[in-house]
Amino acid sequence: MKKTITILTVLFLCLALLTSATDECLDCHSSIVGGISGDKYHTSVHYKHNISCADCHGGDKFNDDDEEAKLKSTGFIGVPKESEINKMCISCHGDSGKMGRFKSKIDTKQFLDFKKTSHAQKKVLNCVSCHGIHDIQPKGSRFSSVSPKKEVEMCSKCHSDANYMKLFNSKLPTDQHEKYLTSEHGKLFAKGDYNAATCSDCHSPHAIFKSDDIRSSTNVKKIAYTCGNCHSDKDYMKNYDIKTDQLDNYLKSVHGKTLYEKNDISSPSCDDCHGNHGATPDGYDEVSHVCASCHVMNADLFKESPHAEHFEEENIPQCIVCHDNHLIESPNHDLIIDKEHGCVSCHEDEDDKGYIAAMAMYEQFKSLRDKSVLANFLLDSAEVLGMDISDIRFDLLEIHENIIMASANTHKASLEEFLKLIAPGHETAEYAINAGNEAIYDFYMRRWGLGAASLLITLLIVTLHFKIRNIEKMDALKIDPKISSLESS
Amino acid sequence: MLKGKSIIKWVDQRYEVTKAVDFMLKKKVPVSKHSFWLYFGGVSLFFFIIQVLTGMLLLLYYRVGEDSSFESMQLIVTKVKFGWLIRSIHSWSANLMVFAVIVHMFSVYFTKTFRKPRELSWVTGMILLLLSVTFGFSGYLLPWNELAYFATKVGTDMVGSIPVIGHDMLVILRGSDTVDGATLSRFFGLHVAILPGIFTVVLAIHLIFVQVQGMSDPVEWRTIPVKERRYMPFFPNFALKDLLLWLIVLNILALLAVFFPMELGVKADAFASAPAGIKPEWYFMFMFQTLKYVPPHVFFLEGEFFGLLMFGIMGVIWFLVPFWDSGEKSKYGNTLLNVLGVLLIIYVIVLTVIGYLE
Repeated sequence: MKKTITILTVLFLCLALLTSATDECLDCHSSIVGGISGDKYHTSVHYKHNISCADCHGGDKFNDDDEEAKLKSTGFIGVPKESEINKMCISCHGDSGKMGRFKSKIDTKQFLDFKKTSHAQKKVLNCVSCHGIHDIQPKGSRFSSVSPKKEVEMCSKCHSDANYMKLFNSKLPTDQHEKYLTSEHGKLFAKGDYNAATCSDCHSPHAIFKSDDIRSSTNVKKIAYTCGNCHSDKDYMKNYDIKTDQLDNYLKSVHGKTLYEKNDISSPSCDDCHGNHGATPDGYDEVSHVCASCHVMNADLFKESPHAEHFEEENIPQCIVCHDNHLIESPNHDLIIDKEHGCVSCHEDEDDKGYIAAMAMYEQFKSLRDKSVLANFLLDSAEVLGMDISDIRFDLLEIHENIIMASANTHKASLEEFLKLIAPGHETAEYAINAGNEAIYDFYMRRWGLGAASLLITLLIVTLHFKIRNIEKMDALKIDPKISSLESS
Repeated sequence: MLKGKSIIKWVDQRYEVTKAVDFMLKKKVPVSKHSFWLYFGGVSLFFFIIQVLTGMLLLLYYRVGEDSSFESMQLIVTKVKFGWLIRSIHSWSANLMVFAVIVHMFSVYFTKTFRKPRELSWVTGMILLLLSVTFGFSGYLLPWNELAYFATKVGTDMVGSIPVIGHDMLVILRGSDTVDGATLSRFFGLHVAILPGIFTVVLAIHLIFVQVQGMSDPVEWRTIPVKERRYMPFFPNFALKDLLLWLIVLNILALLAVFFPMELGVKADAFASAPAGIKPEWYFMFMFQTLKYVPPHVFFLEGEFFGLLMFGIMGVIWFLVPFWDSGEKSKYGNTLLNVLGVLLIIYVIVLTVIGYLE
């Protein structure tokens, strides 16, 4: 019994000795050497998870002999070279097995994203450039260098330094930080609302690419979804009194469809109207005036209209009154008579001058559209018959131009000018209808012409046949005198 | 009337036209069960006349050149009044002319009318056939459309397979290493100046031979008594029957041109990849198809060249048939010729059909 107790005691003591063994590296670097690194490390997330100095720097952490602990055989590397830092971090952060042991939710593929970026490829940054070295904090911590609070300042350290940035890309502006502070996001951030978007919310933490790169979260094809990450999240946006249907509406709009269905990247996305870092585009104090930056002609015509002054006086937003903002539908002439958004939504009275003009415009469009449909039908029919109508098809394109000009002119709300602009369209459509009819007529005329010629030739053939028979008959009479005499008798 | 007669007299005193007219009036044509085939010579001539007339009309608007050939053809078939009809007739007539010449050749072959003393009529006829297909080959490129471009490229590539001189011949034929504007100019010159000139001379010789020697009596008449042999006057009987067939052919031609107008296709683009299903003109199809079956190398020769060499040898043998044919002297002479002719027709038809079905 005594023996058993002795063995257990020894074992217990050994275990106690082992568990109480201190990290000799940290011990020295905090007290004897007095380095700052050791002190900082005590605050880091790695220290809290018992990651020792030797896990990164190599060496024997249990050996209190300075020289023996740093022997090559212990794998000691000392201060890692810059080129080895990323490798060192991903030896754990790229290994889901190791990270799993710490019940970590950190994405182990983040380095794969990072290494494709110009930050990594131009060797501008490595992990510690953003995350710090010894005092790395969890992202959620307000002390972390990549926390929302510190992130803006951290990115700006390089991106606001024109001298530094021109080493890599002199064309890249360096006023993003300043602009950001003028934006709604920046204003909220300045007030201490760290839920407001900061750099990595839009640019992503690791997969940062130039905006013209399709992999970038700020690429024209991705930006709407990037904004939507927050702006479509009802829970996230509940404190801001903003609708969360913008993304859904945008995707249904003519702009969204043009971008995503027709793959026309010239179509605007969120940042084209709302701006990017400044969150309002250059030269416009109101987002509702931004349409004019692309739709210049329509905006100019609107300024000449009687509506412009009235809208200004009454402080009515311009374009969105009729066209909506995110759910902008493809221009359709039915909008004129739309009782919710169109002309007749304000000019309700049938005797109203505006109502009469609107209805006249609508009728003109409708009639031209009908003529255009008929012309196309006739030209299609002629083409099926094998007639060449390419020239007329080309002329028909003019109708489209006339419709565009007249449609734009509706913004000026001048019926007289509108009628002048749409009149050539009617002329072209009528010309195309006549040409289509003529082509079809020509086709049947060819058949009739052929029929007539064929009939004539056939008549000649028959006449000739009888003539030949007659000649042969006469020849036979000449050859055989008996027949000849019989015939004469 | 008196005035007309005096004009004839005036001409006759100088050129003795009445002798030629008398000759024509006295000329007789044998009447037999094979008489129908005699008309194909006339039909071929009719198509040639149509080709000349429609070709002249097309020349009024056609402008040769890489940048103008296709465009001018487009103008002809879309804008020029009846241009589509003229172009369609020219194309259809070209094909029908080759067909009529081939039928004429086989009818002469099977009726053995190439025998003494008409050996040179056969030779000139064969030259006319060769000129006709050359007309077709050169004319096919002139619209400068995609199909024509690649068919010409494939067709002329074959010349390059001839050992030693192949490449030089190819350059002479094309005017450059590839089919381009230079080839187009050459083919145009060939089609509208060189070939018509040569063709007209050879055709005139061929017709003079036919007129001087008259139509050959059918082979089977050797066993028929002289008094039972029937003839008809060349004029007006045969000439009117010729005219009758010409009118029928004209009707068929008009129907084809209106109901099946020749398509212009898309403009040739040297940088585009060859469209699927490139095929030569139907009269080259049997050769094109045969060359597909020839292995890449035969003995020390390139397969393609070997194939062409074989066609060349066969062509020469066929060309010289009046000179190696044993004629009436051999017991099996006619049978041998008939068997050879039928085998050739079967071979050409089968290979052509396979070519189009593939």
